[in-house]
Amino acid sequence: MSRSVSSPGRYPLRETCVRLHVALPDSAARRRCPMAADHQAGLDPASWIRAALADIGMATIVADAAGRVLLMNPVAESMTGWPHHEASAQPVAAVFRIEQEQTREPTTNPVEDVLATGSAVGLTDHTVLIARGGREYRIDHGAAPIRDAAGTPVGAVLIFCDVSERQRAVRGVENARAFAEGIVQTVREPLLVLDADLRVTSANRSFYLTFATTAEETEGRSLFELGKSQWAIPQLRELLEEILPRDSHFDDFEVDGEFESIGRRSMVLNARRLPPVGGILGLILLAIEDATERRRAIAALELSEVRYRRLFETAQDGILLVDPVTRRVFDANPFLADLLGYTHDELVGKELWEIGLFKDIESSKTAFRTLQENGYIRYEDLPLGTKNGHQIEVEFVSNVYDVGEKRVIQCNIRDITDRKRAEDAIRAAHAQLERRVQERTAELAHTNGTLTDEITRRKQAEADRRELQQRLTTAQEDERQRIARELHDQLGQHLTALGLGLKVVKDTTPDPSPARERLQALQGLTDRIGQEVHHLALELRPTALDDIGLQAALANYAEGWSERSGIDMDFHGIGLDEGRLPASIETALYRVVQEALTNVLKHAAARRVSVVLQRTPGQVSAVVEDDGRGFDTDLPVGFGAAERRLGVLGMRERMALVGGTLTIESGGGRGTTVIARVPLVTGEGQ
Amino acid sequence: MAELAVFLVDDHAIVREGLKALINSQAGMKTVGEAEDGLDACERVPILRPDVVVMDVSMPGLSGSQATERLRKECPGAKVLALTVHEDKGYIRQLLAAGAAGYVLKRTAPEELIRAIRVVAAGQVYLDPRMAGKVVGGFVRRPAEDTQFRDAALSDREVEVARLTAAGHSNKEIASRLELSVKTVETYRARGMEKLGLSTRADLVRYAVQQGWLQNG
Repeated sequence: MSRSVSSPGRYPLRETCVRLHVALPDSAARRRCPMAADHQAGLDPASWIRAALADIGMATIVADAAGRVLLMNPVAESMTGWPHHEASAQPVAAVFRIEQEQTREPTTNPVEDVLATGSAVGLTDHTVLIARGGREYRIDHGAAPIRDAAGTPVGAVLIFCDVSERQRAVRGVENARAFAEGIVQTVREPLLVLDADLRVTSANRSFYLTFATTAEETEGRSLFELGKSQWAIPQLRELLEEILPRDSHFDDFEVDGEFESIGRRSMVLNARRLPPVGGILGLILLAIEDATERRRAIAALELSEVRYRRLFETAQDGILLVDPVTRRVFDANPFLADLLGYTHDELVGKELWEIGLFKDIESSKTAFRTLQENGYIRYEDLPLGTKNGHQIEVEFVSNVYDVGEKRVIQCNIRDITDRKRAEDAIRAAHAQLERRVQERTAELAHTNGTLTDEITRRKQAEADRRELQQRLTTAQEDERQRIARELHDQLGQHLTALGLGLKVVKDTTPDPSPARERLQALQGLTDRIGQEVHHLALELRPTALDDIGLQAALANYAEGWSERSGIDMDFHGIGLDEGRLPASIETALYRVVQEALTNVLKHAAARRVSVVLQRTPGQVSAVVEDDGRGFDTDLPVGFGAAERRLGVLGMRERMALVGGTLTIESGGGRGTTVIARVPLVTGEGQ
Repeated sequence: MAELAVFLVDDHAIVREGLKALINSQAGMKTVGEAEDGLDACERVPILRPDVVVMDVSMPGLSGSQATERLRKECPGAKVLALTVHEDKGYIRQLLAAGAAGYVLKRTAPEELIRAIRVVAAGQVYLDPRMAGKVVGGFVRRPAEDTQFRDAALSDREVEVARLTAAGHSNKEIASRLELSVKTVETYRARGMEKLGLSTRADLVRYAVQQGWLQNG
């Protein structure tokens, strides 16, 4: 036990008492205790002594010269567990069992020491008293001899007291100190302990880490000299000096400054005067918090809040903030107030159904439940009543979020009345457009039908015209054929008969005679008439075309044409020995070639003409090609004067009637080629 | 020498009368019978066995060439002299092919007819001088396969243009098919024909036939 630590309270008093008793044998004590003198006078221990002992607060045992228990007071009875009548005459060692605290070795009985030495034994500590029931007490004890008038020891008095409680208190102080020091060292905040001169007594680990400094640079130095003297702030000095004499403190003193090694920082200081320790007064615990990051976060939060607020205030959507517990509005932005016609104050405190967002409490509760479960709710189209009873359409989006400890419901309300109106207008316009398109389509379909009818009618008319043309052509050919046959078979035969008759008559006429010469002349005339008739019949329609075939007829015609025109003719037929073609096709090709050759004769000034008649399995063609002057064929079909003059239209018509085509190629000085083609279908011309 | 027996076939009575008068007025020949159509003739000629049958070509019923063919089989001794108004080679060829010994145009002078009867009776062929050129020309005239063409190396383009021209295509069609201009096609054609010594389209077709170009149309 350290004597340097002064304990307050009862302890000094008790110690004083022990000293008093221990001092009993002294003369001074004897003066103050007359009873000892009475006892010393050889009297039996009287009952007053017992009564006096009973009043003493410390355990007291009186032993005789043999070391046996003579007297003991109630405190001693209580601590030893021995009642006086049982302990009486027992050896003191049996009643007062003691062991050394640390070693647990039995120690020598102080009474025996006193009786043996005749001198007092001082207080010893670290002794444990083991009571009769096994209970242990940490005790201080002392013993002194009792002498007779001659100074011979006649007994001893043993005094002891329970020190367990006091030791526990002292240990508690020590533990508290260790605890406090532990805290100081482990606390994350930098801590300084300052003395009355504001010099650093000690600093914790965090201080050294935070300020990147060492104990050498810190301990024993004035706070205001540390680092770059950043703490040398007059106001701080004032505050510290102010709390020094009193049991006082200050909180949240802010220091912004440039710190050595760590740069610009914001520090928050708390200071507290510590209770006096070991008689030392004026220690100050200074806690320093680096609030730089927190400051920044706060600043950012403030900025964010300002921004949110600005957004909230200026948003062109209505925003409501609702307490999820009370379901009441606690804030609304100006836009919503304007939208609904309420003032801000009118909105605050209302439930949503009260401003017509939900038709009643029940549906409002349902919506809230959904919102709580999903954290989100959205209505595309919600009717909403304004204060003056106006109906508007809104889109309603709501979600729940946490603001610190508190949950908040935010409702965003967008007026879609205009949008809906626009959508309706667009829908209406679209429907109208659709209707007009349908009408127009119907009109067009009708027109189209009319046109289709017209086309059908025209096609029919064209077909009729073709058929008529066909009939006319056929009729014409038939007529020509009939006339040609008539010429050959009737007129021709008659002329033949006439010629034969003239010959017979002539032969019977004297030779020479004028009559015979006349008959000779008549014979010649008959012959010429015959030739002309033949030619006429040929031009009308060659009988060979009917009797033999196209190739023979054309070859014959070409030859006759060459003879008459004096133009060189080269005719070639190929593939026509297979059999006859349909009469209409043969006639058409014959007529086209005939017409083409007529044109050559009239216009081409050609020296040479070739005619090629060619039949392949799928087609029959006739090509008339001359080396004459040619003509311009670039004009559109049917528009050229040349075409009209050349009877090209007639040739085309002829071809068209049998399903064929006519192609003319010509150019200045390059001659002319007329190609007539007729496709043959299987089985035709067999 | 016995008179030549002549049988007349003609559907025109007036012509038969004229012919009969003419023949019977000639020395050394006479008509032994007549028929007005081919069928009639085929019945009577084998019985009468004339030297010469003067046959009109255009008759109703059995035609002149058909009747000729039958008579040649049934009565080979009778020479058929065709008498016709037709001057087309085709008719002549048909008749000659059928076995006619001669061919006379009705408008020929009667003297020619008498001469023709005598010629065919003598076992020779008689052709009307006006027709002889045509007929002989037709026989003599080149069947395409026999014609000799100049050998010439044509370019692929020239061959292609010549082939398509011979097949009956227009220059414009050829130009479009070969993706050439019409002018270029004309040039290839002219150059090719010049190389081959051909002067007309008909020549070109004959050449194409010989080359086998037109086999597939």
